[in-house]
This record gives sequence, structure tokens and C-alpha cells, in this order.
Amino acid sequence: MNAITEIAAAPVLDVRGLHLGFESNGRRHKLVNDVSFALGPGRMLALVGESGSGKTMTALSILRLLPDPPVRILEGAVCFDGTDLTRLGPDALRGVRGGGVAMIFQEPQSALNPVMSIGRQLREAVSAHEKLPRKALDARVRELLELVRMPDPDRIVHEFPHRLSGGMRQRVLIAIAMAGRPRVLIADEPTTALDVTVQREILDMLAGLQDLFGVAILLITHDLGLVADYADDVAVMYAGRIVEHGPAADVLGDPLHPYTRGLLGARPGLVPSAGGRRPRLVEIKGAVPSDLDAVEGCPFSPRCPLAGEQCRLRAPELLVARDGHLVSCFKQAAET
Amino acid sequence: MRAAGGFWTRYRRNRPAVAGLAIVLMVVALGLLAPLLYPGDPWSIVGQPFLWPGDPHAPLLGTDVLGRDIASGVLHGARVSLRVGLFSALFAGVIGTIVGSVAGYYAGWVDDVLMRITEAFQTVPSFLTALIIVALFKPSIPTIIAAIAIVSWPGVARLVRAETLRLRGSDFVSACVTFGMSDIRIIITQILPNCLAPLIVMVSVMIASAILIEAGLSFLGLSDPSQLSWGTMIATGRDALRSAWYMSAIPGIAILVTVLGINLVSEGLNDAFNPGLRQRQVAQIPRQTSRQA
Amino acid sequence: MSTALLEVRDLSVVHHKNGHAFRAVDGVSLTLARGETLGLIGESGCGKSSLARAIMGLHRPAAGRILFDGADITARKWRRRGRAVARRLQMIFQDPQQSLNPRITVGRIVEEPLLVHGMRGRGQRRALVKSLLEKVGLAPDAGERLPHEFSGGQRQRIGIARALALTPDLVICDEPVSALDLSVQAQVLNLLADLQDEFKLSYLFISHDLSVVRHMAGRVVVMYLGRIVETGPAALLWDGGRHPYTRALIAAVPGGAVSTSRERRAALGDIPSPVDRPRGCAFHTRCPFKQSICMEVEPPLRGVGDSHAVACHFA
Repeated sequence: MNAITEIAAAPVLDVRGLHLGFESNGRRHKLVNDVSFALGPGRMLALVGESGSGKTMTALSILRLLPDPPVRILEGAVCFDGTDLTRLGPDALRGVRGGGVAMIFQEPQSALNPVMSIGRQLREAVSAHEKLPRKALDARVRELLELVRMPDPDRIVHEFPHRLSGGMRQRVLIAIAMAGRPRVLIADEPTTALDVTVQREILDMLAGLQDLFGVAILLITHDLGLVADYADDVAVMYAGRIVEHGPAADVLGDPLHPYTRGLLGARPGLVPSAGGRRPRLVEIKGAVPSDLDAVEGCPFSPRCPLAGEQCRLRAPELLVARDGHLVSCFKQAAET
Repeated sequence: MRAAGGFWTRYRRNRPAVAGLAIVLMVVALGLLAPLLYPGDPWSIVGQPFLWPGDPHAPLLGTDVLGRDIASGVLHGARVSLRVGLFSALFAGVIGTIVGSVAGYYAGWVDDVLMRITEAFQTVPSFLTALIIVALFKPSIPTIIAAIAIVSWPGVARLVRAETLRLRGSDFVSACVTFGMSDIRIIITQILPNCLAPLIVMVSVMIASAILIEAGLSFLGLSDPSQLSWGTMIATGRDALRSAWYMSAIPGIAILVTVLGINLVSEGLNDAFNPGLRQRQVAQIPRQTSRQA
Repeated sequence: MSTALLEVRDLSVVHHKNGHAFRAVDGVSLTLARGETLGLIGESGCGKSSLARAIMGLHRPAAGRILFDGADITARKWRRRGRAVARRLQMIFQDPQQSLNPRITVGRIVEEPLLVHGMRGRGQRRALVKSLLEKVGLAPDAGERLPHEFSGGQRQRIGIARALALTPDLVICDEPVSALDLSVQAQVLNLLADLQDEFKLSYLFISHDLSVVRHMAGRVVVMYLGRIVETGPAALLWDGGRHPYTRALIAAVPGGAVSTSRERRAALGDIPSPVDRPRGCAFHTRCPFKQSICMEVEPPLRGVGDSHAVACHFA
């Protein structure tokens, strides 16, 4: 069971023992292996990992947006406000989508309908959750655009997506996501496709929504800098498992898992190099395993500088190492 | 883009495509064996006219209005059809590829000029044009091949031009430009190999249409008078359609089966070159973000 | 060495979009010394890729000159530049999916530059290809496989091997690690650093990622909407940046704890499209310090210190 004790209130989103996989040529391939985490109301949890870590699949599975077939939820529960989303029928699920839990994606241009005006798309989003007369509807649309700090909202309402920049499109998508007054917002790499100066603004705005509405945010990202600046808690994923989990400042300041350490050491340009010599970045040897089922024991062991015999035999469990800080490693205690 | 081994495995899994391939190979085999199985002139009279297949005195598929062996005609006709089909598709392919790749690679006024020419050839109805060309020149197999090639190359040119335009912007082509590769070399070694898949599919479809055009021309009596073609056989049997419909039906079925077989092979090639959506989804699953490992 | 290895003078590159012509690169000048790593940083629409392609001869500049080791190579393409230049000036591309021909083997891809430059002896070429692939950290049998069998990071390595085949003097790296995961990025950056030491290469290192440029470059050039706004030693990317845009970039780096005074709202709004370049100083639409002169007059690039220049009325 989860031992995240930082959450004062009951978690608004509680993922327990999630296993995802797909079948190909008669064999089953696991993509996500026993993932559990909880999101407290008004908190931001970052799910961090590289390609193949399973973070996007995990995020998609919450609202059951997996490309099914062939990828399916094999086991586990996703509890939103006490209800298990994995067991809901299609109508009930539709109600949750956007209303209780909303999601925004990485590529703003492909998520907006190119032949509909922004205003119309927003009206549709609002109407999916509340029936309002036209005047009230327009007012609500305007309210949403102001919420996402859209410049010149009266003009934007009539514009079409292709006339907007990437940053503005992402704001529209956030507005659409907020239309249903969700309690949880899942943001899958929301700023990866945007310029870095625009990224700041978007994330500041998301953090503002957190403060204003108490909406909990699950941020999927590969960028540890964003985690440091915005997230309350972080869960590091590798090869379909969570390898470390805890408060962001704690995990990034004093990482326990060798993979987390490797990632943090791989970041370039953190401190100016003394004497003009380029520092050597930490390299994690090898590559992410392509077939998650093929690795025995700890999935990181083939690449781990600390790997020992027991690491190759059994996969370690996610256990509490310090207050609120969990790690799945046999060796982390050795390095202090 | 995919190893050869994978390609044939995918092709084999497609039953209709395999059936099509069997049909085509069979037709080719029969055509090749024609002189062995039915030596001599297919025009020669072998027996009584109007003999139905199955008749004890008749050869395997019966005789036509003049007593010629229909089976012999079918097999020798196969040679004509396949020859016309193959060579015209080949010439059209070569001409179209040259025009299309040059137009697509150089763009600008070269592209404009070449495309206007291509459009000029494309806007006239193909069968009619082939007919006119054959009627103007002495009707013979080479003339027919040329005529069909002339009306078919624009389609190839358009395709190759589109692919060339797409590939030209790729970084790997830019890389070759940066280390000094000549244009011709780039077109031949970098661009054309990447056009191969749709090109092969298009050429196979063209073979089928060429066979149909040839059948139409010979039906109208515009084919090589010295060669017995399926179209000619249908024409000959036309007057006896009500009583001895087999005379037209049998060569007609031969055309149908051959064209069907070729079309099945084309579809099979197309599917094998582009693994279907479902497979692509599976392959993409482990990498959902834009970053790469 | 008195002559710079690469010198760009007042270069302009014009692109066409929907019938409108606009300057993707507008009067850019820079120099790169032998053995140096010059970082070129900017976000979308700044013109850095257009600049790189113009230098490589892939796009004809509308104005200006490009000098490589003293020789004028402004003319487009190798034919007029001479094959000798093509040997010494090479490029690494951004997209690992697109930068390799999917239909030919990796060995052949790396061999092609050698073939084009008339290197005789199949055995000799093969041996060189093999050693190059090993040098970039790939298995010896990699040459027989096709590109799709490799991961993104490995494909970048193949691209690097290809760029090195002709033992160039200058390699333009156009966003070489932007499409890669963090841990793979570290491997490739270390590789580029090692190769630079071993082969005495000079790099023009282009990226939108400040952290990466900070790590790799000795001197930097900051571009915005086709113009240079600041240039100087790499230290200016830490805290010495004077131009408001440079400061905005520094403030925008996530997790960056460098500046003591973090102006979080340092750049307001979105980047304008290069087709609609704002009048005067292009950055004025987003600058927190803008004055009326900024909207009218384009600030020139002025020296403000030791090889440090800024294009701002108030820096």
C-alpha cells in the first residue's frame, strides 16, 4: 500500500497496483508493472521518466484512453474520489472525463479542430458538462479564456486554431480542460513542443490554477528542471516501474536510486565549469530494455553501477527509505 | 525500409495475394509452354468448326468458327498479352520515372515545363489515344507497346514527382548535397530507392490495364494481324455469340482471370510494403513521447 | 592563426511562406576561430537553422558573404565552392529519423562521402568506415544493418560518423541532441566533446536548449527573429547576459537556480512569427523594459566589454 503521508486529506486520485500490457504474436508484453501512487487535492505530482518508461501509458490509462486494442489494463485500480475508474461503464466514464478528471496533451495543433472557431470549441466543451443559455455560455467561455491569461480574448473567440501560436493553442486546450471544472488535471508533456520562454508562462499559469481552484495536477514530463520548479512530489519511472517516489525537493536534492542519480548527473550546464574545461556528464551505460519481460530481477540492474547478485535475481519493492520518500533498490542503503 | 525477409512473410500471410501470385505464375507458365504444348500455328485449322468443349471429337476447349483450336489460341494469346503488358509497363515506368524525378528534384521552371507536358498527355483519354496512334502507324506488337507506354507514363511521372518532392527535403538528401554528391547520383542512389515501393505497385497495376487496352484494340481489329490475341478471339466469336458463346467466353475468362490475378498481386505488394495500421500501432507503443532513447 | 576558420558577414536569408517573402536571417555577422566551439542559441523563428543551411550551401543567401578559411564560399553548392571545401565543412542534423537514408545500410551511408570524394580501394574504405563506427561507440557489425534497427541516440552517432568520414575542420551541429532522452543526450554530448579533442574539430553548436549550449560552448551568439541580440563568452549565459531576451532565456530555464534575481515574468507573451517581424527592436513586443524608441529604431550591435556585444538601446 502507499505510504505517502504528506497528504493531509484523502487522495483525490489513487492508483493502485496498475499493470498494463499488450499481446503480440501470442505473447504478452508488459508495459507498466505494478505502479501505485496517490495524488492529494491541490498538489502537483510529477511522473518523470525517459522513453519507454511507461509514464505516458500510465497517464492514458487513468481515463482509459489507451489504444485498446492492443494495449490493455491487465490489473489494478484507478480510484477517483473513491470510485474505481477501471470498472466504470462507458456513460459514467464519459461523465468523469473532463468533468472530474481532465487531460491535456503535448501537441496543441493536433488536439484542436482546425475547421471550428476557438469560441465554438470552447462552447462545446462547456456544454458537455453544463447546459447553459447562450449568453451565459459566452460569459463562461470568456471567463475560461481569462483564466488561462489569453491576451485579447474577444478577438480569439472568433479565430481559428491555425492562426494561433503554439503557446496560445495550449492555453486554449487548458481552457477546454478546465471547462468541466475538473478536480484533477493530467498534463502529458504540456510544454515539450513549446519554446522555453513560453513554457514558463504556461507552467506558471497551471500552478496558478492549482492555487485558485485546488485542482490537483499530474504532470508527465522528462524535464527534471520543471519538477524542481513546480512539483510538490515526484515519482521516477524506469522500464514500467516506479523506482523512486517522494517530495520533489527531497528526491532531487538527495536521490537514493542509482537511476535517479544518473539522470541528475546527466544534466548539462548546471554549474559553470572551472578553468574552462568541460565537465564530463554522467553516462548511464547501455540502453532502456526494449522487452520489459526479458529482464530478470531489477530492470535497471544491467546498467546499474551498484548491481549485485540479488539485484539480478529479484525485483526490489518500493519501500520507505525516509519519511515520505520511497525507493525500489536493494543497494541504496549502501550509498550514503 | 524493411528487411526482405519481413516483406515476404507479410506477403505470404495475405491469402488473396498468394492466390493472385499463383494465377499469374500459372498464366506465365502456360504462355511459356505454349510452343511446347501446342506447337505449330494457332491459326491453323485442326478440325470441324463449332465444336463445343467436351465434345468427343473436339480438342480440349473446342474449336472456333473456322475450326481453329481454342486452347492453342488461349495459350498463344497469353504470350501476346503478357508481352504487351510487361514491356509497355516497363517503358512507361522508365519514361515516367525520368520525367518525374527530374521535375521533382529541380523544381522551378523545369518542373513547370515537364508537368505541362505530362498534363497534356494525361488529359487525353488513354484508350482513344492508343487507338489513334495504332491506327496511324502500322498495327503491330511494337506499335501497340509504344502506344500504351505513351498513354501510361504520366501516371508514373506524377507519382515519382510527388515522392521526389517529399524526399528532397529530407536531411539525408541534404547531407549528400553537403558533401558534394552530384544531382544524378543523389536521384539514383538516394531518392529512387525510396520511391520503389509505390512505383512497383503502380507498375503492376499498369500491366493489368495494358492487357485490357491491348484486348480492346485487338477486339477492334487494330492489333497485329499476324498475332492471335485474346481480343481477336473474342471478336471472331462475336457473330456466333448466341449459339456458341464459349468461343468468346473462354478468351474473355482468360482475360478476366489474368487481370484479376495481377490486381491481387498489386494489392498484396501494396499491403506488404506498408504494414497495416494495426501493426504500426503495436510497433509504436513503447515510444509515445517525441523523445528517443 | 590569424584568419578565422569561419567568417559570416552581414548574411541575409530570405524564405517564402504563403507568397510572403521574409528575412529568416537578417544581417548576421559572426566569426569562429579554429578549435573553438561557438554556441548559437535561439528559439523558434530565430533563423539559426536557416543560417546553418546557408553556411552549408543548402540555401542561397540573399545578401552577405561567407568565408571559410579566408576563401569566399558564398555561392551555393559544392560545384562552385570546390569539393575541397565540402570535405572540410560538415554538418550533423537534428532529426535521427530523417537524417539517414532508410533503404541503405549504415556502412554504406558512412561510406558515401568517401565514394563521392574518390577514395579508391574498397577495402580501405570499409576499414575506415569500421573504425569510424567504432569510434562513435557502435558495434563492429553495425555497418551491415539498416537505420531502422537502431535507436535515436545510435542514429545520431551514425550521423556523427558520417560527418567525420572526410576529417573535416568545422562541424556544424544543428540541434544534435534535441530529440534525445536525457541520459542518451549525455552520452552524445560526451562523445562530441571527446571527438573534438581527438580530431581537433571546431564546432558551430546550434540549440534552443540553454543548458546544452552552456555546457558545450566557449563563446555564444544569441539570436532572435533573424538577428543577433547578444554575443560574447559563454559566461554570459550564466549571469552576464545584458540583453533582456538573454535574461529571459536564462530565467526561463527550468530548475535553473543561477540568477539570484529571478525575473520570472521576463518575457511576456508569445514569440511573433518571423513573417510579421515587429518594427524597431524585434523583442519590444515582449520586453518588460520597452520604451518608445524601441518601437521605432532598431538597436545596433554595440560592444560593451571584452568581446561582448549587445543590441539593445538600454543594455
